[in-house]
Amino acid sequence: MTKDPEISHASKQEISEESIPSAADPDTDERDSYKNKMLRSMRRNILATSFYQLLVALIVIILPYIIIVALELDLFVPIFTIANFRILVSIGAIIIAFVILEIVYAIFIFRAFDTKKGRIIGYIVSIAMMLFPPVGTFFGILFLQFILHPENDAGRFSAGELTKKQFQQALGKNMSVTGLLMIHQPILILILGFWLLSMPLDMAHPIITSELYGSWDLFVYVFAAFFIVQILFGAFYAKSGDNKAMKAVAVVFAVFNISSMCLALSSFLVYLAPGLLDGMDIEIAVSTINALLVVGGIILGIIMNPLGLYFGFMIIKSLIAEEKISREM
Amino acid sequence: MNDPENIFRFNKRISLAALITAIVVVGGLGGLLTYKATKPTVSTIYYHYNLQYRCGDGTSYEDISFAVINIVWMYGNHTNWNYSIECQFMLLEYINDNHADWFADIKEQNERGQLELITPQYSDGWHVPYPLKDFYESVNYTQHRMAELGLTASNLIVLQEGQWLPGFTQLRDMGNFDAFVLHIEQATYWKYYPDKPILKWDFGGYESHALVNPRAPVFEANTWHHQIYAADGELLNTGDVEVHGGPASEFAFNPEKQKNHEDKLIALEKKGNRFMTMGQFYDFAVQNEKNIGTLDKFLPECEWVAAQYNQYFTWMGNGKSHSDDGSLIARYYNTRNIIQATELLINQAYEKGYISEQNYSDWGPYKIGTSEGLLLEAKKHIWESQVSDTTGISPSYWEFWYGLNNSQDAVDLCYDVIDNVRNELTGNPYEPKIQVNPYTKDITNNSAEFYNNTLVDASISLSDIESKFGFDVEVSQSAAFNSYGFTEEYGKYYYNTTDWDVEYYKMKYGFYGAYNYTFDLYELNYLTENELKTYNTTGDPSTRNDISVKFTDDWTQATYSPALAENETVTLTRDDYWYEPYGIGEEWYCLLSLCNGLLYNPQEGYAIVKNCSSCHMAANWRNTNVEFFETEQKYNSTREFFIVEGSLSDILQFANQINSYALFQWEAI
Repeated sequence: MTKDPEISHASKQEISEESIPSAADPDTDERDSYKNKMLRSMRRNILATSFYQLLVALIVIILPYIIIVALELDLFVPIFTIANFRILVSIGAIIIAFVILEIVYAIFIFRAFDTKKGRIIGYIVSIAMMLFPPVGTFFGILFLQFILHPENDAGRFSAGELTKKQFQQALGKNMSVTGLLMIHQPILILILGFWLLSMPLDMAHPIITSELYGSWDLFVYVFAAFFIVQILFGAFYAKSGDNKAMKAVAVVFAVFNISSMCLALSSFLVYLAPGLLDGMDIEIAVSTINALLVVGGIILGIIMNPLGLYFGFMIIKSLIAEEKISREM
Repeated sequence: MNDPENIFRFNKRISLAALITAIVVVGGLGGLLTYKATKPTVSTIYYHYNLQYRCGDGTSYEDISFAVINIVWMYGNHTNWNYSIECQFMLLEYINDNHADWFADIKEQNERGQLELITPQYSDGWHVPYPLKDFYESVNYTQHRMAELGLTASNLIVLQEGQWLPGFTQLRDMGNFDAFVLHIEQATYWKYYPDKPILKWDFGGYESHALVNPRAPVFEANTWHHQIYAADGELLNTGDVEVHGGPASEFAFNPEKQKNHEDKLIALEKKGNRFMTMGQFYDFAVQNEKNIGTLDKFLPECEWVAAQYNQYFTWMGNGKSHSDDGSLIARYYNTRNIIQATELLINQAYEKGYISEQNYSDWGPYKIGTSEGLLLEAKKHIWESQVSDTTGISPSYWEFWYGLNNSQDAVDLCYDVIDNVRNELTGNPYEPKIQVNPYTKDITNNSAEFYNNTLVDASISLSDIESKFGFDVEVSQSAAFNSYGFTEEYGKYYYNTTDWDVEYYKMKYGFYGAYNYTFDLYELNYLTENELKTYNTTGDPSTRNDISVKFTDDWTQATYSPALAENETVTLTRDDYWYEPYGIGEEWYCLLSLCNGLLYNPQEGYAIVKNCSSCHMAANWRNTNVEFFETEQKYNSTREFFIVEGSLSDILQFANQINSYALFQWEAI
C-alpha cells in the first residue's frame, strides 16, 4: 500500500519528531492511510462547518442591517436590537475570523496535523466548531476525538477479527444515537412554528394560514415518530442477524435522514407558492413554479440538513460494509 | 475508507460525537420546550381603528365603521376570545348615531367583558405639541359620554399613533385609568430596555403605571405573552391591497383578509392560547409585585415605530404632501389659546352673575342635558383639528383643510361667545378694553394692571444677540428660494406687569413657501388647488422650501417641559440617548416638541423660547446645537424666538405666559 501523497508534504524533520506512527511499526502504512483518509474527511467536515458558520455570521450581520437599519424596527425579533447592533456585528466579525482560521487550517490540515503547533491550532479549531450546534458541535467533537486519538482502535481489530455482531452493534448504536440527535429537528420545527404563530406576522395576508400551521404540526409528528422509531430500531438492530427486512428498514431510515428537510421545505415552499405569486403579481404556470419550488426545496433541504445527510450516507456505507463482512465470513 | 474495520471505528466515533451533541442540542431545545410548556400562552390584541384615517371624507367614515363591526361580528362567533379595540370616541358616536343595531352589538360584547374599548379621547388627537388642557378635557368629555352610552371604558390609555407621552401622569385622578401603554420599540428608541411588563412611572409629583407592549413573543408575568396585533385595524380587514406596513388604498371591507386573520386566531386557539384584553392582562400582571419594575429613565415623547418616523418628525417637521406642520400646529395652538381665554371669560362672567344660567348652558364649555354649549362645540372642533392625520403621513389637501376649517370654526365660535358675553349686560366690566390672562386667571380692564410688551431697542442685530448669549445662529433655506431671501427682525423687549418683568431678545424670520400665500390666523378663505397655483413663488409648485434655524452652542444638556406638563421641567443629557446608533452616520433624532416653547440651556443659563402660535415645529437636539427644521414648506411662514436669560423658574413662567396660557387683549366694544 502506498502512502497518500499529502503526507509527503510534511518535512522529514516533522515526521521523525512528531508524527505518531513509528517507521518500525508494521501497520504504519495502513494507519497512515487511515489517518490520511480521516484527515480528508475532517477537512470536509471543517469546511462544511465553516460554511454554516459563515451563514450564521451573515445572519448576525446582515439581518440586523435589514431589520434595524433598513426597516428601522427594533425588538420585532429579539436579540436583534439596536443596543445589540454593534455587538452583533462584532460577533459576526469574530465568527468570520473563525471561518477564515478553519478554512486555512482545512487547506493545510495535512501539514498542520503532524506538528505540535498544528495540533494545538487544531484544538482551537475544534472548539470554535463546537460553539455552533448542532453541525459545528458534532463535527467539532468528531475532530477533537481525532486529534486526541488519531489512531483510535487501530490494531485492536484486524478485518478477520471484527465480527459481524460487533459491527452490527456499532451500527445499531450509531443509528440510535443519531436518531436521538435528529430529534432536534421536530423540536426545532415545533418551536419555530409556535414562535412564528405568536409573531404579529401575516395578519391579513393569505400566505400563512391555520392550514399551513396544521401541516407544520404534521411534519413535527411524522419527524418525531420517525426518529423515535429509529432510536428503538437501532437498539434492536444487532439482534437482526441476516434479516433482509431489517436492512431494508435501515435503508428507509438512511433515506429519511437524508431527505427529511427536503420533504419539509419542498412542501412548505409549494404551499406558499400561490400566496407568494399572488403577492408578487407574477404570471407563471402553477406546475412550473411548483416544479421549481420542489427542486429549490430539495436543494435547500440538503443545505439545511448536513447532519441528516452525513448520518444517512454513513448508515448506507455501514450496511454495504456489513454485507462485505457477511460475504467474507 | 470503505473497508468494514474503518467504518466500524468511525461509527464508534460518530456515536460518541452524536451522543454529546444530542445532549447539548436536544437537551437545550427540549429544556426550552419544557419551560414553555409550564407557561400558559396568553395573547393580547388591539385593533386601532381611526374614523379620521381620511379625515373629512365621509365615505371613509362609513367604510371604517363597517370594518369595525365586521371584526365585532367575527368575535361574536368566538365568545371566548377577548379582545381590545382602540379608537376615538367619535367612531363610537358615529356608529351609535348611524347604526343603532351595530352599536348594540358593540355594547353587548363590551358589557360582558369580551370587548375592551380603549377609548380615552374624543378625536384621534395628537398631543405631543400641546399643554395638558386639550387632552385633559377631551378625555374628561369622552369618559362622561362613554358612561352616558352605557359603555365601559378601559383602564388603559393607548393613543393615536401609539403616542408615548411621559407627562400623562398629569391626568392625575381623572378617569379610571391605571396605566399608559408604552410600546417596546418606543423604549428602545430611547436606549432603554425594560425587563418587566409593568413599570412604575413617577413624574411631576404623580405616579402611575406604564404597561409595556411587546412586539415579539416574550416570557413575562409567568406566561408566554404575545401581542397578536397592535396596529391599524383598517389594514387588517379592508382594502384590496395586501398591506404590510403601509396604509390601505381604500377602506372597503375585505372578507378574505378577515377570514385569514380569523384562521390564524383559530390556529392559536387550537394550541391552547388564552385570549385576553389588554386591560385583563394588566389586571392579571399587576397582582404580582414581581411583574412591576420602575421606569428609571425619562423617555421623551414619540410615536410607535419611532425609528421609522424619526421619532415624530413626520408629524412635526416633515412637510411632505399637502400640509405645513409647523404653521398648521401653530394655528391649532393659537386656537386652543383663544378657547382657553374665552372659557376664562365666560366662567368668570357666569360666576359674577353677568350672564344667566341658560346663557351659560347655551354658550359655555359643558354638555348640560342634551345641549352642548358653544364653547364645548369649539373645543370639539379643535380636538378634531388636532387629529394626527392633518400633519402626519402624507396628508391630502382635504385633510389639510379639515384641520384649517375645524380650527377656524372653533375660532368663530369663540368670538361668538366673547361677543355674546361682552354684549349681554350693559355696563358689564368686559365692555371696555380688557386683558384676559389664563395664567393668572385674571381679567382686568384696569390699564394700570395690564401686561406691557415694550420694544426697548430696535437697533439690536443678530451679532449683538450672538455675542451676548455666546451662541451662533445659522439660518438657511432651500437654494431655489435664496434669490427671494427671507425677512429678519431683531429687537430687545421688556415684558412687564406690576409685579413681574422679563427682558428678552426677539428673533423673527419670514420665509416664502412654494406658494406666496399666508394663512391668516383668524380669517380663512378656502382656495382650490387650482387657485393656489396662481400664487406659485418660483414658477414650479413642486419646488418647496426646506427651512432651518440652528443655534450652535454647548447643548450637552437641555431642559424642557414635556407635552401635557407645561408647568414641569426636566433636564436631560443628550448622551443618554442614541445619536448615531449604528455607527454608520445615520442620525437618530431627539426632538423636543416644546409644548410651552421653552428650551433652556442649563450650561449657559439662557433659554430659547419659541413662539408656538407662530410656527410650532420641534427642536432637534444635538450635543452641539439645536435645530428648528422643517422640510417642503408650501406656504409663507414666520418663525419667532425669544432669547431670555435668568433663572429657570422665571423663564418657565415667561414661556407659559406667552404660549400655554397666552394673554389676550380685546379692545372695547
